[in-house]
Amino acid sequence: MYLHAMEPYIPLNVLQLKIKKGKLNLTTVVEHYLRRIQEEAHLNAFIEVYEQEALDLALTVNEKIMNGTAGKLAGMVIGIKDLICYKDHGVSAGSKILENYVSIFSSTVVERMLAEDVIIIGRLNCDEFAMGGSNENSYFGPVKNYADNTKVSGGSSGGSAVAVQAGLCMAALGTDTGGSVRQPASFCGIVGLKPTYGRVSRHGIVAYASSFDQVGPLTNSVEDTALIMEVIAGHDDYDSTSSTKPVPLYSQELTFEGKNELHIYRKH
Amino acid sequence: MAESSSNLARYDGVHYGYRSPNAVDLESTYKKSRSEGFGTEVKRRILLGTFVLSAGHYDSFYGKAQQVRRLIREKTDEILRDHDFILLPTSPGPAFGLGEKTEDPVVMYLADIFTVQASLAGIPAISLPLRNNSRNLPLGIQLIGKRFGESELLAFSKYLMEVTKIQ
Repeated sequence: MYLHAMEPYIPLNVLQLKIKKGKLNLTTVVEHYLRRIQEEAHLNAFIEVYEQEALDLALTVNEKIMNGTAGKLAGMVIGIKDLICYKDHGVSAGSKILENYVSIFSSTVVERMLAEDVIIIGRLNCDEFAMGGSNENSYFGPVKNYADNTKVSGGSSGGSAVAVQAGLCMAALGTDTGGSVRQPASFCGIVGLKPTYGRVSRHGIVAYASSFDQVGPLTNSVEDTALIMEVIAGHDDYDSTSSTKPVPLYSQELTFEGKNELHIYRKH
Repeated sequence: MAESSSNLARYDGVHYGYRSPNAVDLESTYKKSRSEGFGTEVKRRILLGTFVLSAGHYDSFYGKAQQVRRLIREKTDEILRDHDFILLPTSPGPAFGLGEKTEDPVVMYLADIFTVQASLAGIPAISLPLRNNSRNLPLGIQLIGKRFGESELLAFSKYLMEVTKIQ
């Protein structure tokens, strides 16, 4: 069994191949993450876990992988920040004021990921309305750093960062207004991207500062970030600030060509 | 904060979510639902945001902030015309202790000092795990790229991760 917390992360394409060859079952993968979430419940990364749904989806997606009809994110088990609407699921923005609020529609990012067969395993803790840099402003309590439980996770996407850091899911979505994806990613030793403003639709994201907010992935690898971006980026009729620029196939363009030259700017 | 005070006006105890059981009329529904529903930091930002947008202070705070934002954006774009990326720390330090900075909001805001530039300029930026410090806490490095230059940013990120990999 390859999947346990201390072993290196396996790239999605390798995972998909293993499933296709019948060497691994997606149910086993989802069960592994559900067990990890339970084991590390004290980190307080998840606000809610969609256990049965994830298991049900694992069966469907596994079959799709076997018969070659699966989407780009098939097999990816992902968590979403508690600021991202997912129809018929709670979204609280880490606040008491939305404690029992249930989304009446899905955000564009969720719809696009589901169309590519992602498995959403739960929603993740964050600072209230994304206001904070340590996840200590959440109504649901702080998130603990997996590297040292006496340290903060960073924020505001603290739950998203720790969930990936501790291997509770493969990747997560966060939102970044002034550093809320990048700073917790840094505190947790993972990759976190804030895209260009307008690259990703904000439709269905609980608004904080609308001229800054962007959804961004938190992952174990640049490859996963590229793949998720490829799926979630692009124009959306529901967000007039989303760009109509075509979305490159980021995951196919990861070769760096060019010379390296480093200039150092000093304070003067 | 100005934008958040507007965006959070919708949580009035009527449209969405929590409504105070202690409210007796419309005004107390607004006041009590918001007082009981929001936490301290959110209230702080709503108050500050409402203050900077108020008639007597709009120009000196909000107007000024918009000017500074434009200058930062222009200067950053200018740097990125001559250079492919800007490399800088993601945060001034590693993860701090729980409760260590909760007393002073300004100290807490400084944890974002290196990330706000890309936010103000509206351009892509990525944090990459570099190494751990001597106490085994992760440290990140930040790369800022050109507007809509995610492809180049990701490709160079992958390269940087490979060349800095601990052998």
